[in-house]
Amino acid sequence: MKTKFIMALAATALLSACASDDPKTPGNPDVPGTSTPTGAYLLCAGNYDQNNAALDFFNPQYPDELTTKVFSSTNGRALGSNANDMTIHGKKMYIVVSTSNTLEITDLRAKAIKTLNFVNEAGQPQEPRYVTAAGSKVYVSLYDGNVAVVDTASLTITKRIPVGPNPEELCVIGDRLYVAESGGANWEGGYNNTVGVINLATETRIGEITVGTNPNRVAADQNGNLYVLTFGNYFDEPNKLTRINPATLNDETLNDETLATASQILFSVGSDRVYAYCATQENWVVTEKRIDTYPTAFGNVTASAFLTDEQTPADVYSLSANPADNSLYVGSTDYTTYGSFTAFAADGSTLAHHGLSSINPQGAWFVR
Amino acid sequence: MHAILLTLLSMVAPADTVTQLDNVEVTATTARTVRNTAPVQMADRTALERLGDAGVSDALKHFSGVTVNDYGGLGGLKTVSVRAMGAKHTAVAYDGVPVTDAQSGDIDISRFRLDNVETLTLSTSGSDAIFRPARLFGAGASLAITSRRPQKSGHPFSAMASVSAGSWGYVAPSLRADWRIDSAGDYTLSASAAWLRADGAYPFRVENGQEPVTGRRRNGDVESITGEINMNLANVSLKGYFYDSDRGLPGAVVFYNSYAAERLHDRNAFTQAVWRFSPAPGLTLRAIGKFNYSQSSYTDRRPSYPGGVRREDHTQREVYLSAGALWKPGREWAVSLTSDLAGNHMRAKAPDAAQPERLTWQTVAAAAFTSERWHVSASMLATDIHERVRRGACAGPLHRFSPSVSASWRVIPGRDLHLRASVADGFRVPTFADRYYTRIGNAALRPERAIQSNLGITWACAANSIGLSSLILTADGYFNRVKDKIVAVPTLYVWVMRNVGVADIGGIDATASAQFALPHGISLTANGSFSWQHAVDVTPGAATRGHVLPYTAALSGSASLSAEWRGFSLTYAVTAMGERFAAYLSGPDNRIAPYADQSLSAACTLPLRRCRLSVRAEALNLAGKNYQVIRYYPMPGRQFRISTSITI
Repeated sequence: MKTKFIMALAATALLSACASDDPKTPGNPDVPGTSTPTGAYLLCAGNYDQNNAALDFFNPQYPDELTTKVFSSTNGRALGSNANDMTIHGKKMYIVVSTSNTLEITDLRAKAIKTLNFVNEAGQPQEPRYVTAAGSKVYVSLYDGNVAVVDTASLTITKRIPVGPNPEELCVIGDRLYVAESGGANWEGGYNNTVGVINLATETRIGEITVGTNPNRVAADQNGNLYVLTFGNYFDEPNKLTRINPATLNDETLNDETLATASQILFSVGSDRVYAYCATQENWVVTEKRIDTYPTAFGNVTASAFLTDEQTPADVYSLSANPADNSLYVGSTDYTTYGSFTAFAADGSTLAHHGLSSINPQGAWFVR
Repeated sequence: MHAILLTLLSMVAPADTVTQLDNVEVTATTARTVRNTAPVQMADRTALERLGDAGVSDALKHFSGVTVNDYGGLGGLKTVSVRAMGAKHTAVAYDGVPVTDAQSGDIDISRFRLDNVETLTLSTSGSDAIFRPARLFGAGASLAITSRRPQKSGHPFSAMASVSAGSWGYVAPSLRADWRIDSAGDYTLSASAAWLRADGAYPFRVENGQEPVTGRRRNGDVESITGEINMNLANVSLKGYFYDSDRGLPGAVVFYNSYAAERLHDRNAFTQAVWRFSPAPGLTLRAIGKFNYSQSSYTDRRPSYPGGVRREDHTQREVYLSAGALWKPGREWAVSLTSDLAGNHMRAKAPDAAQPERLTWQTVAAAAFTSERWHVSASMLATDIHERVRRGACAGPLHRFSPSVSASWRVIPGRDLHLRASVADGFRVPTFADRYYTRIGNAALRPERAIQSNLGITWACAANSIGLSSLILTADGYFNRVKDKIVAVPTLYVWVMRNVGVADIGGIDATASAQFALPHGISLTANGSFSWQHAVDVTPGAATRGHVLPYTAALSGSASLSAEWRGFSLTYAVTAMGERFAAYLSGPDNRIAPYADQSLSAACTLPLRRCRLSVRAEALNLAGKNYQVIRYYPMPGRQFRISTSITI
């Protein structure tokens, strides 16, 4: 987690998003507010403590246009500080704003319906991190070691499930919820190395899978494989992407395979493929980067080149595959000016490139 | 640039005024301000008293070219940045001895209580004060704070008790005692102690679209205690200092989440001795010794930390020695040689902390030439730094030379109209945090360089027909280049410190101060400062290239007007800053609104039997607006303070 030093830096080193031209207001019929939108919402975290998280909207049918700041223009107030993740489920969107300690529940046009706060019995913020949904429930990982269960009808928190330390991303496979238990706030103690397993019927943590150091991201593919990205210790232990055979998820001996090991990895699961961004870093500078694809079949770890070093955008920050057409949205940030994204078709050709209305794009979420 | 400055000057000073001037007699303060080869700004006891019970930081806001980084609150961290170089380029000296923090490089000036300060002097690099500790030479700017000294006349024993109280639980009592042991005042002993507390729970308002965020600041309480003992024994001055402060850090206003639990507990004790001796006419020797101990504990309570709490403890020790000689063979020449040795030692309570130690050896040779019309000085500083760590990578040795040259020229003989020019090469050493903070630090960091040049004009005149008893005008144009800027650079998941930035900073600083002696014994004092600057990033290949540096206002200024009659005084003061941007790109997303902070104070001093009673009432930030200096850190609104002191 952020230390005092980072906070001081964020406050004084003044790394921040930057202003641009006036928000664009394209007159196409598919932008939010006019009809049911189809396209992608792009979420920017913003800077630490700067209340500049932003939600933009892109419709691939109008590749030259971007609707910016949809949340703040629709609701007359800011989204908050550090929007980390969101999910679109049914007719609603659930946006996790970590530092603001909120879950913003909106309709598909980003009109706010309800704002949930996560506080413990002592009144302290529990710091929501990631969100996923299945059936009539939305699951939010809370950095204090819980997964909150939100009912999609009542829009209230119905339960807090205790899990391992500092949970991050979560995903559902069948009747199980898997959550990366990073131990990220305990770097001095060497992080944690488990993925927690929750039985959705009983809403209890029934076990754990031991993985590499500091698991942060998890995702499932259509075959029920579980992907786990471990960040290592940010020092001498690199990022590692592994795949776990679903048939062995409940077994004593796991069957897993390593897809990639690199200084920096990001991944996203499409319909029949997994995209992975891998970068080599020397002296804190990226010296080589690429985006590969992997088949979703367990046992096949062969990488195919999707984008070469030159084709891969600079300063990649997030990767989002659209399962509908396997298009890939790559978010970039230079951490000081506005973020941007580049959309690629499944064949690697560029569909669009836009500057975003804030810094640090967390990814794209698709409305169909 | 030259032409602009002259034009600027002629606008405020009509040409015919110049011709009316008699032979000028100026005070020592004026002489330093006007005749120095580089900009020097001073505030003496009288000037500070006019500004009232504010802190040192509030007094500094009236200097031109100064930005006080203010995170709001009554006990919040305050650091001083001069001419957009960054606060770590500003060295601070207390009674002639450098005050340092090897860990953070930031000197929090909120700890200095104005009622214990005799003078504040801010000089930019290239100043002609050639007989200073070597450590102060390499800095971009230096702030010298001198503490109050016992009166040279009157009763040999004097004491003062004061208490100040104000809005949001602010209470600050202090005690002081002075004893003049011999009649000449060469042997003195004084002691002072002060306590301060405040809740800091002031109401604020921050805009958020159609739903402004309002409330009271949380976790902004502060409690501090300061104690000091000073002893002067002819050639030797001894000081013992103690400071203990426990404060909450209210943090930025984060929308929808008002939780704040960070706390900082600082303890600092030091003892210093300064010995000055003249073995022969024209020769002065000086030796300084200091031992400094400081401890800081930072805690934050959040349920996501292991055990619900994050704690960082740092202990620093410093031994500092300086020896120097100043030789003035005649009236015109002066040469000096000063050598400083400092050992810094830091211990952090963390399992994989680097535990760095640093040995700094700095030597400066300087010379000055003074004639009726010329004042020229030059210095060369040699710096040698060696570090060692217990764990991890260690910085290599550093050797560097930092020259400076400056000159001032009296335009018309006998008149205090001067032109001045200076060039100086300064730097700041990476702090222990920059180099060794777990995972973020980078041992390979080089020092950040600041190359400064200044061209100015100053003018002073005394008594003339319209009741003007003194007038001082200064205007300086400057250009600074900051290279190898130490910046926290994020990589995908972690941040690391790197030397990446280059910035060019150009600007104009102008000051004016006038005193009028009006009929009926009324005296008026007016001070004004104005700054224009353009600070721009010129880092090759960076996305930020060509953009204005965050938190640098193009326009800023201050003014104060004070009227005194017998024991009564009334002062109005205003500091103002134009729009700034919290990030590199200028635009509405990052804009911080301009502000003007006005204050009004009234004071009277009455004799009361054998004592003197002073009462002061102040209204601060009259407009009551929660303006922001640092984005999302709203400043306190309108506040009132009343203070009384009794002196025997």
